[in-house]
Amino acid sequence: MEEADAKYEAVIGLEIHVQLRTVSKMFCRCDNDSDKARPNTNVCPVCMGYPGTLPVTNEQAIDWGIKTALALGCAVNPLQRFDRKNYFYPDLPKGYQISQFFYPVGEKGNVDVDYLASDRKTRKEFSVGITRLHLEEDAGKLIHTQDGTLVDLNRCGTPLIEIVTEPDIKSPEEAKAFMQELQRMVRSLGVSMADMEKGHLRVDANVSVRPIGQDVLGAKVEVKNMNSFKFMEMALKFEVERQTAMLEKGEVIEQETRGWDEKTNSTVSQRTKEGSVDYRYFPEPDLPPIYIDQDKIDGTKNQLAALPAELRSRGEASGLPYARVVELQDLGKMSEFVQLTTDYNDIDPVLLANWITKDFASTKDLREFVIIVKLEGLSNAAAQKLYALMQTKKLPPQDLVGQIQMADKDELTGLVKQVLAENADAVAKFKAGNTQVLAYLTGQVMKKSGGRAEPALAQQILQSLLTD
Amino acid sequence: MEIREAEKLGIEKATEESLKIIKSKSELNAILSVNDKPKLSKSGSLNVPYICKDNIVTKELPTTAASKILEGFVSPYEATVVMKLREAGAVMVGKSNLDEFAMGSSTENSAFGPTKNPHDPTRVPGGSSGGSAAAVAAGMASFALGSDTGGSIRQPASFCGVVGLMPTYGRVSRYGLIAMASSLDRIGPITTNVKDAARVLRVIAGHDEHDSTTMAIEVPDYVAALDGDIKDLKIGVPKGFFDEGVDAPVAQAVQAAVDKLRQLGAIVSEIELPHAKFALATYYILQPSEVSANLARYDGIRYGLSASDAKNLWEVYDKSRAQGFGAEVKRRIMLGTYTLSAGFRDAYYDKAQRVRTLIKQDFDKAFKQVDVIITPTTPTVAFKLGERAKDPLSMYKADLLTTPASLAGIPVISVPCGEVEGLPVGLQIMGRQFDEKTILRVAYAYEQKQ
Repeated sequence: MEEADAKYEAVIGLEIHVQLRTVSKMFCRCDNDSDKARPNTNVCPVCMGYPGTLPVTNEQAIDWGIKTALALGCAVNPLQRFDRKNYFYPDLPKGYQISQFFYPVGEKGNVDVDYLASDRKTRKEFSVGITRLHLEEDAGKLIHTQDGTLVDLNRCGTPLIEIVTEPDIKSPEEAKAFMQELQRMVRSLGVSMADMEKGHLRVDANVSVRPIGQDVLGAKVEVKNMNSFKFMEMALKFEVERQTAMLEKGEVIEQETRGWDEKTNSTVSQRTKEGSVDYRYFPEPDLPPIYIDQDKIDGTKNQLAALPAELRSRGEASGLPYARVVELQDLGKMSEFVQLTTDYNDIDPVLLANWITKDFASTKDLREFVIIVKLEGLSNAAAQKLYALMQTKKLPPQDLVGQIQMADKDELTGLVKQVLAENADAVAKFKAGNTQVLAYLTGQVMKKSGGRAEPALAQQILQSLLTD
Repeated sequence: MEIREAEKLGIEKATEESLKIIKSKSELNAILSVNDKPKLSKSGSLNVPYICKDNIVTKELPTTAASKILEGFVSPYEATVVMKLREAGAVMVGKSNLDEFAMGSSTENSAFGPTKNPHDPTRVPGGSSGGSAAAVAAGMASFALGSDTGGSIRQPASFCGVVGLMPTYGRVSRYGLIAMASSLDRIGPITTNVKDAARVLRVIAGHDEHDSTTMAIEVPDYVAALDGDIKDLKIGVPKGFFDEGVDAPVAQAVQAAVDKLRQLGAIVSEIELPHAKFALATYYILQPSEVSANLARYDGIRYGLSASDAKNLWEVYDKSRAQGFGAEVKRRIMLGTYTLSAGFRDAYYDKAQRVRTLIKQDFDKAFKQVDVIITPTTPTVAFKLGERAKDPLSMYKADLLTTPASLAGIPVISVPCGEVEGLPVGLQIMGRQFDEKTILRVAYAYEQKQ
C-alpha cells in the first residue's frame, strides 16, 4: 500500500447539509426543535403537505443563509428565489422539496483550513473552494420496523443549508479537518447546533482516485451514511484504499453510490449509475423572489464576528503554542482567550490558557485571578488554593489572596521551625556569621514542603527566626 | 337569489329557501355535498347563504376537488376566504361540482358526474366552476365562490348567464385553494349581478400572512366605486378577439354591448395585443408544468385514496394515482412532466415563461392607452354535453379568450350581454392590476343600461 499511495492521489468533494436552529420551521411556524417530540406531533397542514396549503418563508433562515455564505467567502446573490425539486418519496409530503437551484444564496466561496496533524503538534493547512450554498427544507424520516415502514414527519420543513465544495480535498484527514472547521464556523455563527450524531450536520462525499500527474478525474463514488467524524474518516480511508487497490489491479471503477457500514467497517454498494435522476426543477410559484439590497449584504458582512480560524491565528500571535490553541478552541474558550489577551496585553497567555477552562463566576474574576497569580508570584499550589477559596467564599480574588498568603505564611513558619530544630549545626554556623548556610536551610524548607513553598517567603521567615 | 333579496328574507328563511332549491334542482348535479343544518350567524356585512367550489377546503363539509383520490376527504383546516366569509356572516350551504382538480371547461371531468346548464340541461355549464355558476343561475344561493386558472370563473359565468369576477392575482388569498397551477390560480365570486360581486370581493380580498403572493395593499370600497358614469372612459377593443375561432353571433352580441358603452360616453378604440394569440399555447405549457408538481402530493400515503392491493411502495404510488385520477388529470400530469424534463424544459417551460412576459408587456402597454379592454368571454355559447369531451384540444379552445388575462395576472369580470339562440353570452372586461374598481364600474354601468 505504501508504494501504491505514492503513485495515486485521492480527490474528494463534499456535499453537506446543516440544520439551522431557527425557532420555527422553514415554511411554516411549527416548532423547529423536535428532539423530544413524539413522532408526527410537531407538524401542521403546511409541513404535512395538505391540499391547499402554502409555504411562507422564514426570514431568519434567509438571514442566516446569507451570513453563512459570507462566512464561507461566497458571493451572495441579491436575488433569493426558491425552486421546486420534484421526486416521490414517503418522507417528502408534497412530492417536491422547496430548494434553491437556479439562484443559490451564495456561490464561489473559499475556506482556508489549518489543523493539527495526527502527531498532535504539527500545524497543517489547505484550502477548499465552495461551489455553492443554498437553502432548502428538510424531509421527514422513515422508520423501518418488523411490521413495515413508518413515517415521522416532525423533521419535515426544518431549514437546511446545503453546501457543496469543489473537489479540493486530498485526503480523509483533510475531509475530517474541513468538516470540523465547518462545525466550528456554524456554531460560532450561532446558526446551527451542528451535532453530527444528531443529524444537525450531515455529509456525503464524492471520492475518486487517479494516478498522480493525471489531469482527468477518475470515476466518482458517492459515499453516504457517515454520521460521525470518526466514521467519515474511516469510510473515506476505506474507500480511497479500495479504489487504489482496484486501480493497482487494473480494474475499472464504476460510478456508484456506496454506504458506510459500521458493522463491517467497509463501504457497501447501494446503487450503481442508472442514468441521473431528473428533478424537473422550476421556480416555486408560491414564493415571490426576495431582493436583498447590497447594504444589507455589506452590513451582515461587517457584523460577522471573528471566525474560528482568525481566533486561532490571534491565539498563536499571543504566544500560545498551536496545539494549545486548538485544544482551547475545541473547549470553546478561544474567543474569550483572544478577548482577554487583546484587552489586557500584560496578561500571561500560558497562565490564562491554564485557567480559562476552569469555572469562574465571571470573566472579570478569571482575568483578575490570572493577573494576581502572576503579580504575587503564587505557586501552582497557592493558585489552586486561591481558586478553591473563590469557589467557596464567592468573593473576587483580590479579597482572598491575602488569606492565602497568610495561611501560607503560618504553614511555612511551622516548617521553618522544624527545619531549624533538625539542623542545629547549620543554625550555629549562621549565628557564627556564615550566612551561606541560609541557602542550604531554604533548600531544606523547600524539600519539606514538597516544593510547594515560595522560596522568597521561606528565606524571609528563616531570616527573621534566625535573627530573633 | 340576489344578496339583497336574501337579506330581505333574513338568514333563516334565505337558507331554508337555498336548501329547498338545492334539493329540487338536484338533477343539475351542481352540488357535491350539502350543509343540511348549517350554523346560522345572525349578523355581518354578508349575512346570506353561499356555495363554495369543492376545491376550496372547508372543515364543515368534505373537500374532494371532484376527484376520487380525495373522495370523503375532510380538511383539518379551513381556507382563508371561507373564514373571512363566516366572519362576515355568510352561511355555506353546500360545495359545488367542478372539473376534477379544476381541469376542464365543461365540468364533465368531475369524478362525480357532469353538471348541467340550468338554461338547457342538455348543455354544459362551462367549467371548471360549472357547479358554482349553475348553482347561482338556478338560485341555489346568493353567490358562489369559484376559482379561475385559465377561465374557470368567467367561462361558466358566461355559459350560465351570471356574473363572474376574477380578481387580480394576489388580491385574494389562495390559502386553502387546492392548487392546480399556483402562478395562475385565483379565487373569485360568481353572482347574479355586478353589485353582489363587488360586495363579495370586498369581504374576501386582502393580504393574508398565509399566502406570500397576496399584496399588502388597501382593499377599496368596491360598492361605493360602482357609482359614477363612464364618460370619457377609454375602452380598448383588441384585434383578433372577435374573428378567428369566435362565433359570429357571439362577436356581434359583444359588439352591441361595446356600442352601448359608447353611447354612455366611453371612448372606444381598437388596440393591439400582438402576443395574445400565443396565450392558449403558453397557458397549456405552464399550467400542466405546475400541475405535475402540485398533484404529486396525492400519493396514497397520508390522506385520500390509497390502493388496497399495493404490494410495495411503488405500487402504492402507481395504483393509488392510477385509480384516483381521471383521464384529463393524468394527461396534464404527463404533459407537465414532459415540459419540465431535462432537455425539454428550455424549449417548453422556459420559452413559455418568456412568452408570458411578452403577453404581460402587451397588456402593460395597452393599459397606457386605455382604461379597460373588452372582448367576448368565450368564443361560443354553451356547447352540448359530450360534444367536446372526447377531443381535449377542442375543449382547450374554450379558453382561447380567457387565458391572456390569466397569464397577465390582471382582473377581469364577465357579465351577461344578451343571448344567442336562447343561450347567454358573456362580456369580458379586463382592467389594470389591482384596479377591480374600474372593471366593476364599467360592468355596473352596462348592467344598469340593460
